[in-house]
Amino acid sequence: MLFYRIVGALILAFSGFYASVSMNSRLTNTLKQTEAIITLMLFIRSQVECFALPSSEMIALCDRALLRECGFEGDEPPTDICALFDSFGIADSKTAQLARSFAESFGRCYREEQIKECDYYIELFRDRRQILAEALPAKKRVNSTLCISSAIALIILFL
Amino acid sequence: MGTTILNPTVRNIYPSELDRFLPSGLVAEIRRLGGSHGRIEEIRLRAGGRCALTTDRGNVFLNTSVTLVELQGILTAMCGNSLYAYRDTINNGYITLRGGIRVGLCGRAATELGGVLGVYDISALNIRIPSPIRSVGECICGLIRRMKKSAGVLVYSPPGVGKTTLLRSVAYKMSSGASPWRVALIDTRGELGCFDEMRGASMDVLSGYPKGIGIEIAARTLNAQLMVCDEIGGDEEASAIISAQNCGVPLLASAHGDTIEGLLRRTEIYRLSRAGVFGAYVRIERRSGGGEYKYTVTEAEEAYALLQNSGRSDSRV
Repeated sequence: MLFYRIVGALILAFSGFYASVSMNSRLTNTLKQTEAIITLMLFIRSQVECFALPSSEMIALCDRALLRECGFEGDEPPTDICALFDSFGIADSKTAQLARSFAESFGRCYREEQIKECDYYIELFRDRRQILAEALPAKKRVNSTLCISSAIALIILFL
Repeated sequence: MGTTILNPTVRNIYPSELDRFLPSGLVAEIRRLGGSHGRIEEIRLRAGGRCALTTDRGNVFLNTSVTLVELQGILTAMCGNSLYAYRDTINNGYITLRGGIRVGLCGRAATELGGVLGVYDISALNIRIPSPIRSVGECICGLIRRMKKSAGVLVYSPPGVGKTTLLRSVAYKMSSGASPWRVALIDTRGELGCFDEMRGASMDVLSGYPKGIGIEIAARTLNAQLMVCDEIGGDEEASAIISAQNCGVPLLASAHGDTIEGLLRRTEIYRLSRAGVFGAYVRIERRSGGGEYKYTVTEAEEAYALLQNSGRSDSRV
């Protein structure tokens, strides 16, 4: 009986630890995703500025590894900017809102205005990344404390 | 005056690829009409007004209308949600879709130093449906083959008669078959070399090139035996064509004009004719109510004599 209790306690402890690691990893990935989206937007801006490429050709030229970092998981990316950004499954709601706003407004104006619009959204995304980066350590600590404390509490109750 | 040749009726098809750009109500209405009002040549959309069709029998108003916002959305969709990529052609008043569908547009122009910087608040779109390659222009091919080596042919008519269709057909016929020529298509607006069947012919398509540059490339680096371009207009184009065309390669081109005298009174066409660019002028007419074409050929010497008789002098050049 004692053996099963010890095993159960170990499982609870492990679960708490795993939950903590998983949640922290998710937070880190959200930040990395935002950084990857900024890189993608810089690429889009450069293609508009240098070549005035249509969006479908731009996406075809885009590095697949970068698209995976942004969250795209399929084989062939969509040819439309809106569909592409929708496919990223952005975890952070505010980042997702910014991405949707950018994608919906993309391609509706001429080159100079489009470049300025890209600059505007890149700046917004950078601000959002800054906020996420600054909040990350504190959120990680909260997650770790919560998960481990919950696990310990359950172990105590269990034992 | 000249030789008259008749050609058979050309059937036209409504391209289904327009369906994804146009409002569903408009598509449904056009399909319901079918060919009851004749062959559809143009679809006209006007902001805040009823849409209309231009057929070979005349203009037909539809019940569907579009708003300014919808029109802007249609144009953005036609540009692949990349309006910035089409600015140059939009400033020239058109975009070209796949399949050679030319969409004329107008709106509010932002200008600077006499040039158009951009077009905003699009108020009208005119979707011109190209005729597919059909068996027309055989006589023009014969004319080109009979002409002296460097003498070209100028096809003329008022707008909307079928010059582009004829040029496309002649270019295809000359570059295919038993004795194909090396044909260079200077396709400034992307309308001429738009059909897939043209890919297998002995034809090089210079898409988007200005005419002067395209002609120079065609003659000097592509070693063309025949050059084809559409809608000559303006002194600048004429100057570029004259300087590039002194290479012995015949040019098949088109221009707007109703009579040979009227055509040659245009300064740029007169300059081209005096430079010996064209050996013959072909007027196209369409029989009312149908697609039957009539071609009237006027040799260069005869054309010049007609012009002299009508009172034009060299001092006006």
